[in-house]
Amino acid sequence: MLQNLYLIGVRYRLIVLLSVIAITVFFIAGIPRLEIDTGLDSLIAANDPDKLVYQRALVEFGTDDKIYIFIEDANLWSPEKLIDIEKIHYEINRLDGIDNVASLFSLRSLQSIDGSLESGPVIDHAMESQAEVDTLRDYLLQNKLFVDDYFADHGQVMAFVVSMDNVRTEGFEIERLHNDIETILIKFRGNFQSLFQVGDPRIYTELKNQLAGDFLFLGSVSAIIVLITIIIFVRSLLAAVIPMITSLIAIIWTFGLQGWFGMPIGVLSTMLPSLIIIIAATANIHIVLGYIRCLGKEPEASHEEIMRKVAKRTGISFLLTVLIIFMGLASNMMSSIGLIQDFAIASTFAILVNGIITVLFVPGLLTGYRRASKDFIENRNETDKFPGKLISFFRQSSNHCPRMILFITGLLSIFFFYHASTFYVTNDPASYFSENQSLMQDYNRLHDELAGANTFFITLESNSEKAFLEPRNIEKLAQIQDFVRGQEVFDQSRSLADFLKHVHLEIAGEQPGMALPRTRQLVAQYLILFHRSELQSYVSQDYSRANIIVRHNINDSQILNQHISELEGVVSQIAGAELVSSVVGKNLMVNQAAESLKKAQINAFVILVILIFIVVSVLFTSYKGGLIAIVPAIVPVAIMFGVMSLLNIPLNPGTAMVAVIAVALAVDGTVQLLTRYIEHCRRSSDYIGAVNLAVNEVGPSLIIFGVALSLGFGILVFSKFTVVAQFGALITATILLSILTNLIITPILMSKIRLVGLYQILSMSVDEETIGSCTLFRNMTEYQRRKAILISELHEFQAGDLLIEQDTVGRSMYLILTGEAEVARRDNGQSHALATLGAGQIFGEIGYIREIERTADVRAITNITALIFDYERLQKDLKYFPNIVAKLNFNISYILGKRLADMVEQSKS
Amino acid sequence: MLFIRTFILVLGLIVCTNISAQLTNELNGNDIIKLVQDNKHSEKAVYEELSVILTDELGNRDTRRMRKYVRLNDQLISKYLLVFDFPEEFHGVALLVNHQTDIDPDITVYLPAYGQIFKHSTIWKHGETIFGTDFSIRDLVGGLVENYQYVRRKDRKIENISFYVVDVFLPEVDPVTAAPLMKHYVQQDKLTITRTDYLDRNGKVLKQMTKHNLSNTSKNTWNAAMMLMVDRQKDHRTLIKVNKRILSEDYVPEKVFTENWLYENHPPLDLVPLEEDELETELMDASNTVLDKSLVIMQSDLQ
Repeated sequence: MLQNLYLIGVRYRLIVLLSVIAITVFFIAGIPRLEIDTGLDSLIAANDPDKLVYQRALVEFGTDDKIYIFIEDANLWSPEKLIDIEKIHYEINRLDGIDNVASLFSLRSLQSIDGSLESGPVIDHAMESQAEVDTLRDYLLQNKLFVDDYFADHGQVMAFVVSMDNVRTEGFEIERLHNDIETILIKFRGNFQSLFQVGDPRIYTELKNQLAGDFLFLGSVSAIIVLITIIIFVRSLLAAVIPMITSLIAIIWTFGLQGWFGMPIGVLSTMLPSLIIIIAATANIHIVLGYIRCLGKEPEASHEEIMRKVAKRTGISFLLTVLIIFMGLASNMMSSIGLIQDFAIASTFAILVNGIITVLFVPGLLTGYRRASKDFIENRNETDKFPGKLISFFRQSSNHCPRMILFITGLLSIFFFYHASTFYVTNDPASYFSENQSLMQDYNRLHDELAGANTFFITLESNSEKAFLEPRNIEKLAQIQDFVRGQEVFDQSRSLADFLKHVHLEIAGEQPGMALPRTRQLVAQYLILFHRSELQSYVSQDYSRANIIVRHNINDSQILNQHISELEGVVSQIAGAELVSSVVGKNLMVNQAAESLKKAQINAFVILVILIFIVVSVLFTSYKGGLIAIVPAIVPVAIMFGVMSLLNIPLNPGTAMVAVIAVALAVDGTVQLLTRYIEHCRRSSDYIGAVNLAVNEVGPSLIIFGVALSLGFGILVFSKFTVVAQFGALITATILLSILTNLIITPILMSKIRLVGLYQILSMSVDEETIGSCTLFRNMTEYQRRKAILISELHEFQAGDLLIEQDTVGRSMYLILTGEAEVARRDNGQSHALATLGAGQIFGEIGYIREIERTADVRAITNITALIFDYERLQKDLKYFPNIVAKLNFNISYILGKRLADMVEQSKS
Repeated sequence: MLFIRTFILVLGLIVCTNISAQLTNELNGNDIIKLVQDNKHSEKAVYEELSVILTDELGNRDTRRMRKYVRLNDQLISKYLLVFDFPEEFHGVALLVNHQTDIDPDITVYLPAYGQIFKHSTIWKHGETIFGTDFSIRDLVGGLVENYQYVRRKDRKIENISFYVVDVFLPEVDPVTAAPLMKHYVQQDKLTITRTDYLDRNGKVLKQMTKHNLSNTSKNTWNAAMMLMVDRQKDHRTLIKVNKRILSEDYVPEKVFTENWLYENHPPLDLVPLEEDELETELMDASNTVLDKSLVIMQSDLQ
């Protein structure tokens, strides 16, 4: 079937070409529909139970997404500066999409002066003299309701808190809003030491801008690196260009699909072009190299014949490469985080598409490049020098001290696995940016001078109306705030209690132990002095629910989740039985998704390993083959997680994908080694020799493509997104580790087992009549017969070759598949033909059973194809294939028994 | 003869109508507002029982009830008293306004739960909304006409009712270049302001007050049975419904506008709550938890 698939592109080249072009055009049309999603919603776990609570809190208390305008100047409090600040306030307030701007020019004060209540805007007229400004500043900087939210107590920094209206949910509007605000700020930036905005619109816009830059840079540089690497090592432009063509088509199809189906591209999408190019190179090179090798061996063969051989030689490894990488990427779909799911869908589709395009398109492309391939064949030996030396070094080490190597690997794995158990997880979007980027510096400035831009809510709810007019419940709010303050990780909290404390202090003055009003009537009557809009973020209209707003600047999910967990416990205790408490916020849900990230990563990894184990076990008809395949997958990943833990690199949406992709790529190498190993085992009973041959054959390409993969992924280190850069660094290291494991550990393990490929069994061409009638395979199913044939050695002899020589000791038994042989005994220099043996007949069974001298010569009369069953080898194989070897032994006994009976019968007659 | 009489009558009507229209057209903004103000001041004592229905952007409603006392004397000194009756927590909360021509009114607030009356004049000056509603004290008692400039704009006809449209400016600004503070819609047939738009400096409507169910209570005075204030920014609204209106000095004696009357009728509540001990005990456990947790944090920080 694989052969037919490969030949579609050769036989129907034009149809395939036109089809690919048509589909590509269709997907190109979808690309303009692509949407960029750099919002936080895609980072929240879809099944987060807090979503509903959060939505309700949003409706009740307003959004927790704010834009902060940060203004700093040594002469901030001067009439001239206030004029500029006022202009900024009103210009921003006038923008579409702005709900309101809370600032010096909209804040309202409530104070008691000599028994008279005074309330109103903090600025009610133009400030013309410095003295007026100083008075205003002194009042504002001692007002606890304003300090840290709007003003730094040292008087050189102030902030606007800007609320957006509903249009902000649209990405385009967010970007427009950011740009509109930036246009205003630019006009005034020269008048202040610092003037900037922070908040979702800026994050969105910067992510989007960086995303575009990364796409162009990373994709093209990866392509160039892979191209150059392949040209250098393989010395074939063809081998380098073909992956570029297929990956370009796969990239177009993938982004076109995303465009047509409305799947947004996110931060992780920046690595998609690189990933497709690299994996396309890995998959395609099997076919291209196979083609080049076959062409080198049979330069006169037709293109179709060569492709048929290529299909036979590379089909399975190509299919496996695509399948395993497909499984690796698809396993990321288990994540409940939208960002990772979207990436998983896109990358899985890309790999599938690349596989299909490769099978259909590449055989056709190869037709016109036969000349170029020959050039490669001629130069190939030179290119193998470096990898060859390296492999030789590894093989010597493995052969001399295999146990030591296994022991050290085991120790290292345990050491890193132990540390891997403590790696930390983060899902905070701020972790996408490096600390030296201006965005992060501005966030930190806001945090240092005022309070962090991240916000969450602590909500308390009662069944009874007016619960939060009760002093005891107000006191609970204050207690929770005290605890938040005691945690010393959050910047600031604000609740109804603060407003009541403020008005109580203004009216009643300082009263020891009486910071809050002590009767429900007084609470209610104090609150009536505030505007409804001032309180709506803190208490519901019926006073049954209250809200504490907490601001912070923690960008590490682990730290945040730890303190939130602690806070939730205390809030619940303080709330008591009569109040229901919850701690919610978009920021919290994003960070809490880190836990699901961890679980999804573990699930994806475990499931992928199990799948690989099953696939490889089935493929090589042995669970031991499956176990060997997962060793080079597990060891590098365990080391990677250990290194992550030791170097404090977090598991985040980027690094979360390293393990599964690295596993898939590592297993691809292992399967290639195993495939070559079992091929060589069919021709030799020297398993160590077979291992060496397999490593020598596969090793160079493993090293070459490992280097290409590492360089291709390594370029991601230069991404502006920390998550992508971390992914690039880790996957590069993990791929290099997996190459080492494949070259050092896999051969040691491989040499301990004997495998037969399922595809060999299924694709084996045998004369069923001959085999079926052979007594050696008596009472065996067709599958067992094929497997038995595959664990033997297959040899071809020319007419006249001496297969068995009389009076020599040999422990092999022969089964003729095709051709004829003559059995002759030499006595006193005279040779007497005893018998002529044909297909399906066996000879040499006595020597197989007992180490005695052969009693006759066996010589090929015609060209012969024969299976050789070697005693030593079958005894070794008994532990690998006990059922088959036991049946073979039983049948040999039966043959000998029958022969004895025949001889007795003959002697009687 | 009949024809001549009819002709003269028709001619007279036409002339009168033209004169009337000409007079109407000649009214400027200040004239219109003066006419409105004169009509309003024809009632000397008003007692009203009001329901105040607050609705937030989610549609949640909160109902309060209050009494309103208004008294005008011949020297154009007006006094207003608003006293809450419901809900129970607000019972007795009062706002007292003594309003004299040419000067800002004297305003005091009484909080019986605190047991003290405070001067609170700034809420007039800043147009502050009162008692959690979307109405300012000016909306309820009316501002001083002389404190503003009024510029008549093009008349408008809304749902077949003709309105004078008058923009309101601060006295010191140039109405040609400055932005108006408010826009009054004066119903022409009743010479009563039935709609006021409150504008920001960009001309955007921040709040809108409308009056409904007008009834002719005396002479040329038209009073609304309902007043609706919509805060367009917050999407809040406040509806004041007049449940009872009595135009009688007996219902509005002078003494209600005194602090003593407030103290006597709504005596101060005790400051110390009855449940203090209970509260202390309940909060003790929570305090201990907080302290324990804080200690754990400090220890972990030290480590």
